[in-house]
Amino acid sequence: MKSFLLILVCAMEVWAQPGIARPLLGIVRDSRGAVRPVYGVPGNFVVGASLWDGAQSAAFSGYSGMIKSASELVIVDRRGQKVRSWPAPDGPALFGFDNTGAAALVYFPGPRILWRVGGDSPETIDTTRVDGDVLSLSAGGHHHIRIAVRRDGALHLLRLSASGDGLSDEVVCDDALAAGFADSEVLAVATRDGLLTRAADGSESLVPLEQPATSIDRMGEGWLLVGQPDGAQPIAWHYASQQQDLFRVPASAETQE
Amino acid sequence: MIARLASVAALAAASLFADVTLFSVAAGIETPVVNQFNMGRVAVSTAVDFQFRLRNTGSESVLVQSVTTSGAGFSVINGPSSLVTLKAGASIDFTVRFQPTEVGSFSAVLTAGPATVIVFGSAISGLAVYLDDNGTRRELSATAVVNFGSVSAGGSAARRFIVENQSTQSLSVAVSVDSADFRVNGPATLPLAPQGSGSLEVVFQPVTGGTRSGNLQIGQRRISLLGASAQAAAPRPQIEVNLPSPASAKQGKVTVRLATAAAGTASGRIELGFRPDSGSMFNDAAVIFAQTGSRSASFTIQPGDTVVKFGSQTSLDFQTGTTAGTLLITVQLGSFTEQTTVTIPASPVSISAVRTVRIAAGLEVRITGFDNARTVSQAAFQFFDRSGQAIAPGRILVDVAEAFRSYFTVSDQGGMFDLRATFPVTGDASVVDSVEVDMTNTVATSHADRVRF
Repeated sequence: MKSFLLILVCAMEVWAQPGIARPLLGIVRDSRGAVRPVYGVPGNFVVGASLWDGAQSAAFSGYSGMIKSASELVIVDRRGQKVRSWPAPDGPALFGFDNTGAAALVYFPGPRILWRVGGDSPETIDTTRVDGDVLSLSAGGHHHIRIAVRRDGALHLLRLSASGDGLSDEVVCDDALAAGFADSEVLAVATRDGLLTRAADGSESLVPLEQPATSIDRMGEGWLLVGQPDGAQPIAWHYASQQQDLFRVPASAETQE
Repeated sequence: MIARLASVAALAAASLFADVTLFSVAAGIETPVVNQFNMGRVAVSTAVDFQFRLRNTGSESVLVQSVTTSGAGFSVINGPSSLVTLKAGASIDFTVRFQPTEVGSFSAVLTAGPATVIVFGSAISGLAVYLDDNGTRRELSATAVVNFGSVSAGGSAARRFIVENQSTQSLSVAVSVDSADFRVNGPATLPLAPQGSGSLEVVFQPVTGGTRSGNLQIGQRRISLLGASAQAAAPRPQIEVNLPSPASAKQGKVTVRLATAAAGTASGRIELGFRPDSGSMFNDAAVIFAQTGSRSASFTIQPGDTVVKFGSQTSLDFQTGTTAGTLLITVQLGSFTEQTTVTIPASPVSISAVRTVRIAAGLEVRITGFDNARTVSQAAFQFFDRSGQAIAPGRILVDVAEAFRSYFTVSDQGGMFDLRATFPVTGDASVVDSVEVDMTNTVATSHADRVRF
């Protein structure tokens, strides 16, 4: 029996949300530790007022975000609103998202503690198999954990089981300056030649960069935030576009003297 | 000159007394002191000591209660600290020190038992300062001002000073200036032999423009210094915009070159103005310089520069925003004001992303993009099934003109938008596989490629 289908006229309102709003492109942490929304479209950004001050680290997938203050880990939703929080060790943190963009992993480099944060409370994962300095992490399919580490100058890609057992260890390159997972499968690597993306199937592409990157963090859906040396404004890398465009993220007028 | 003369009218009597005689003693030779004793001319703050001897020239013992001086600048050292009985023929020695603290004439009453005399002396600065004016010495008075004249920005002028020690003591004179525009060439201390002289050079090198002043301190002499910095005329700035395609949602670079190499230091300002086509009521907060997050920035130039510097950078990134209009880039440097314009033409709606979500009520389509003409009037949606066939009722046209007009009226974010459209579905919504979107403004209709749910 053929199902009956009728698409009704468009409704411009969904619940209490307005039908038209400024587009939230991502969330970034500025040099003073303020977490700010970035509104815009490729090539046109407006950095908004601080959502959170005193952040030591922050990352945003477009679906959810994680913010680390001196004493707390905060999970935020797609609009940057606080969802939940837990006490956390002092110091910066690295964040990993799953393939839906949900907050999944937090790594504290100081005490070398790895948390899974999908449930009601953080679950500590054994890190004895993680040999090297952790640069980035993500939660892949089948509950696997992918971790990029620098060891003896080379960038290694580790794959761990949900409990932390080592499954594989693969050398990616020898001259990585920084690395960050663009999504659960694609690893972005900053080299002296530029920005390299490496997909799960091993395919690679390189985007030239004027100045070497100092860090790579997720800032929004399809977007990575690339840190720049000497206090220069960071680069927004639209890695999901075919052109892999690079744009300068403007300073917030509030951060200027 | 400051005079400090003690009241001595009552002391007109001679210092020779019936039973005692006061002598000054130098190299073991006694010289009777009659009425007064000149302790000479000394440099301020330097000390001169004279030895005196009080002898009992009578036949009976004399009681000496104390030896004192009564005026400023004089003091008795190693005198008797208690009552002394001076037997016939006996004597006591003591020293009087003259150490004035300022320029002037000084006197005091010296009392040694029954003997009373006036001691006096004078104090000079000890230093005479001359300006070497092309080989000619010109003594500088206490109120003298040495003018270094006018120098160009980055340039300098020097003056030579000669310092003469007029005292009979060796001096070690500290030399300093209290202004960053002046500096002393040479050691911070000038050694001067008695009656000797030395020289030093002061260089005027202004760090900023205009009239500059300072003080040269030589020991206790303070000499006013004056100079002027004539700013070199700043070269004409030339604005260079690197924006391959003048359009909305672009980032470009602006560099400010100089018509000639800078001869001096200067600072200037660059402004990014915006004049929207659609009227002055629309602002676009994205039209900014990336480095400042605002529409202005300051820059500096140094001698030899051919391009201005924004901090350490030689160019600024800027955004064109998402509103049709004209960018006005204005540079002010010295007496020059240069401006260039970039026209951002109105364009069809730019759709940067279409996202689809299945929701409980049906389907949701989110369209992100910008309309730099701010005249979007219609959105069209066409849904397709898995076989790629259009689904009834066919192309759904939505009049969005009023909704966008309301949004743009209150938004200062230019023409960018995030449109969220929901479509209630009656029946099996899973049949819907994809959607195509068109949006129309006064320029044209834009089409977004098919996106799957």
